[in-house]
Amino acid sequence: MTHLSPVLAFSPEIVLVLAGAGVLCFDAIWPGRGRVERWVTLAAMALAAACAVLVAMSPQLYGVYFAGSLRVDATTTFARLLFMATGALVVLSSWGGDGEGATAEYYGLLLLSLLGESVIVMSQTLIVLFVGIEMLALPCYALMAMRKHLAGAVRAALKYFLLGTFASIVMLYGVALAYGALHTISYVNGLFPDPVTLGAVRAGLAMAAFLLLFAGLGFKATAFPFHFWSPDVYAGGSAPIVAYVATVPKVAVMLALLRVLGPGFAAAYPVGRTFILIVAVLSMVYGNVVALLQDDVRRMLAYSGVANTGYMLIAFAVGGAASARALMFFLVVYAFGNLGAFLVAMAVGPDRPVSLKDFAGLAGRNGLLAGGMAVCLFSLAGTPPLGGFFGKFALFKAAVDGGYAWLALIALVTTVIAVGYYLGVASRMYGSLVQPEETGSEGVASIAGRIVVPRPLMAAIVTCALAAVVLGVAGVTLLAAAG
Amino acid sequence: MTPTLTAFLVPALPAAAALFLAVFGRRMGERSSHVAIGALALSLIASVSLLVGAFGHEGPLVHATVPWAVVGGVPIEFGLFVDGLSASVLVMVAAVATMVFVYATGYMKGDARYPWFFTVFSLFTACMFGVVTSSSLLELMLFWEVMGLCSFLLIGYYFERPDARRAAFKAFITTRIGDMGLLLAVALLLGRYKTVDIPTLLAELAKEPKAFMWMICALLFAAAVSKSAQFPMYIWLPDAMAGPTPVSGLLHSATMVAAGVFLVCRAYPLFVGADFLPMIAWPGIFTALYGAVLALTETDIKRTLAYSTMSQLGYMMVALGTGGLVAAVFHLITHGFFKSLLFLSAGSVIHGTKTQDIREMRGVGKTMPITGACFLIGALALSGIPPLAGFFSKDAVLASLLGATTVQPVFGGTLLVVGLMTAVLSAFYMFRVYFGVFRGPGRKYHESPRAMIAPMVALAGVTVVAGAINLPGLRVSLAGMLEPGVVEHAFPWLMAVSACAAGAGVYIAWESTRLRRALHGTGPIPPNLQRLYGGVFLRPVFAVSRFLRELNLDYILENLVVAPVLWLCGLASRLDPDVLYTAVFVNGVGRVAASLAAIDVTVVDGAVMAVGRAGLGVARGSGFVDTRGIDGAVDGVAGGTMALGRGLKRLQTGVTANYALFMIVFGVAIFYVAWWLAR
Repeated sequence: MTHLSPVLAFSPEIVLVLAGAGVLCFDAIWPGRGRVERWVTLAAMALAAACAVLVAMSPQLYGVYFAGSLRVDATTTFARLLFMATGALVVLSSWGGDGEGATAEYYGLLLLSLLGESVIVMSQTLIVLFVGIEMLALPCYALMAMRKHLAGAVRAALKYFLLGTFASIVMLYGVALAYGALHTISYVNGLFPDPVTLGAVRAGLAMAAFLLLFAGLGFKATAFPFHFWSPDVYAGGSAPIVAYVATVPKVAVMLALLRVLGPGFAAAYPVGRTFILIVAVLSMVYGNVVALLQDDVRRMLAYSGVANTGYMLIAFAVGGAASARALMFFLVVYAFGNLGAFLVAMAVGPDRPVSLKDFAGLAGRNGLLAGGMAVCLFSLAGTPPLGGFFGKFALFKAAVDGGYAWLALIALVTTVIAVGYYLGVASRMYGSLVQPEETGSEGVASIAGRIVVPRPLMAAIVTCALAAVVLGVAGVTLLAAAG
Repeated sequence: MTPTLTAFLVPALPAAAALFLAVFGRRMGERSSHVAIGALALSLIASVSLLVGAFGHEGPLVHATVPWAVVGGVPIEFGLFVDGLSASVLVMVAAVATMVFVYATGYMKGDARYPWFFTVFSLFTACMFGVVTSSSLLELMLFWEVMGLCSFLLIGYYFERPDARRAAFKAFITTRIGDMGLLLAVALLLGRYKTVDIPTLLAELAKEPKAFMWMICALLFAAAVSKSAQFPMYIWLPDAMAGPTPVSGLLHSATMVAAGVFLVCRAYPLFVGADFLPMIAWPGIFTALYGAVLALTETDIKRTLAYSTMSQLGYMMVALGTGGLVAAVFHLITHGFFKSLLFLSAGSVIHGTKTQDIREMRGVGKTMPITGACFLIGALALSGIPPLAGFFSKDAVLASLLGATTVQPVFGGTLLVVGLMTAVLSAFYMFRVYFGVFRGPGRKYHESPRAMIAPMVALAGVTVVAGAINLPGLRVSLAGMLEPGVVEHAFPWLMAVSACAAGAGVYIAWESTRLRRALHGTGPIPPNLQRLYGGVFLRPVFAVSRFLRELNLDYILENLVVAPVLWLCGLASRLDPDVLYTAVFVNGVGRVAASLAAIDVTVVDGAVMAVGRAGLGVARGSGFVDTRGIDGAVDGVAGGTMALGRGLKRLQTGVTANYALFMIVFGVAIFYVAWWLAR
């Protein structure tokens, strides 16, 4: 069976390609409203997830394929399952969408961008990584612009596209520099070798390459100086796609960064470590402080995303296997919490900016929605006993264990700041802090009326909230199992 | 002040001015020219003091280097190198630039992109100074390239006009082709000798076999040919006149195009040692003649001057090709003065008449007397009428050609005859313009404002006396500084011949103008009119000129030279320069400008506001601590956090280009801090 092993090992990706291309072709021949395609997409995701589980159950399939280009291992399986789960939630969220948002192309492109994410996580050379990032990004640009009748969506898509291309160029330059400095683009054993073997000149050049590569990846992950696109794009873009772009690529990029840097990077390269430290601190401080001031909820979530990237980067600055485990747990928690929060924002205002006022008295208008939002937000804030608490706890503990108590302290302080704006939303929903002037404005009509949420979207939101609860209750056990 | 510091200030001041204007220009508006001119005036003073110091100084006055980086064991050094050659060129560049800057304050008045103009103009001047004072070839190349960029930006200054876009694009591509030679030379030399220090390189190269030296010479000369608009790479220069007139008067007459000649001068021992000189002389003399012939039938006043520039640069090259280093530098300097004078006068005429077509300008001298006088002085100098500067320098060039006849009679003789013919033609085309535009009856025009007139008068004064810098027999002279100990021969009979040649040219122009006027009054010239004035001289010359024009060699060369490069770059499918230009310039530069403006507004304002607010927050916080104890402190921290947030929020400008810029600026800044912390 050896000759078949690549086909088996990559069966989830093959399913995605066939389904994605198939949906697009099918639509080209029999144009429709995506009624069939969404079932096909869901089925493909389920099949891909099943394949991923099967691959995980046959360990002889784990290994490096295609002349050291792609790796299938436990991390890959983890990523595949997480991507399929979040992807399915996004499909559910646009289930009852109004025509233009949910055409067949929408599902086809979504499948293809999921494939790109898989490639990002599996890749073992910088070129494949770059290709993966483009495979992820190009469908996202198109998806972002799909609801053409919304001027904001088109503007957001263009902004996303321009800056994304710019980041790709920067990263490609980093790839070139990395090849010049390291004489390899493979990172099967981590990209950056011991600097002693490089010599001073090449080690210096390697740092320049690191900066540029980090800029390219940090763009997708919305780390501090590379995040500027995210608030504008999230605020204006098409809601389900914003939820998707704000969550899934970040997970993929973080996992790829783990592979590129390898466990020993922080210890071997003090400059790189310091850079990541500064970016982490700035992301946490900047993201949380600016999020405090936002009135637009999606914007607020964008800054919260910047802050969360800062928390994730702690794992890279500290280095080591324990922090990598902590990061992976945090990624799962973040994915569900963030996705849930965005989906609630979408349910409240599908086609328009959602401000804090829209959440006033939400508990009375749709208790389930408010409850879902509250759970997701508290999970993001890191309140026990929800998943977010254990995610942050694991990361901060890794920082303290690694000798970065001060970093953990900063993270803790910024978490307290973050509670400020998460609590702001929650208190509005449950009415205790509703300001009289806020209810007096345009909000009156909507407060009176009950918010009707399409059932699939509600299911997605409830799933996210449940995940946050389950991850919290079973958090300690899962964290131990992740090792 | 030590000479080294002085030499550093010369390029540093305009560079600082450019940086300052890039950030604050928008805010300063029309006052931004004050900064540029102030910096430049200080540079002028510094250059003059360097020149004074260089007189009678043995060896280079300044030669200082600082290591910049070590790459692969090769130390890359940046440094300053000032000797007589650099000092004298510096003074010319600084003087002309100061005059042109002052002129530009009048010429560009009311222009929407006024600060941007002075920003790029200052940057260009800094780079030109940098080229002249570089001690390392790599540094020279950097300045050289940025100079090319400035040229691109300034030619395309009116980028709303398609011809300006096209011209800027053409100029950039054409000169870049030659720049490849410079790049290759730097790479070869760096690989072989592990140094880029020019004096060291020259010493090392002298020991090499001739073939290697010859190759390096060829590479350097390729760069010089394209920058100095020599045949066949001249095609960009006439089109470059699409830029504003001050740009033509500084970059495309006196300074940037002279950089090619300067490069050959700088590496002159190498060219001599490699026996490369004939390879310089032939293209040089051909360009001199070719440019003069094309200038004859050109009807655009600025393009006429552009062809003339090409021709005069050819003179400098041919002087270099016959061993006349002093003559070339001398002509470079005087040409810088009188050609920029001519451009400024032409600009003044264009300003007054609102046209560039010499057939539509009539009798301008009546109502614009100062402009007319200045143009006349420039034209006389260019024609080589004694005692103006051009006479002495052109005579020095011819003397150098005459010197070549003693060694190689055929070679030198050909060059000399063609050189004299070009002298006649130069006087002819110059005075054809002068008589046609300034003399005779005409409409009423308004003389240009004082800001434009004053620098023209000053340049005219310099043009009258500049010949004195190299009077034969003087102790303090250019020759004494460049080639001490070599006795310059003066040839009185050659002086007489060249003066007569110039006089003949002026006379022919006068006759031709008179005849035309007699026949047709002030109407436009019918194309066949000149044939009536057949004679031995005019008919064949005009025929050749018109033939060349109809041949459209520019177009052919453009397709031979530029198109293949584009094709190689994979741009052939989108060869339309407008498309490329729009992509590069309108989007690229427009965005850079927008970003800089946004930094101005956002970062500067934002920083001020943020500091202010944070201060307020802190003040409020401390007030709370006083009055309300712990509660107050909590409020104060919250208030401070909010204030900080409000400041930071301003970074989110909504402008896509800003975000890209912030990514770079903040990314690099954090990286530097990290580097510094982790050291």
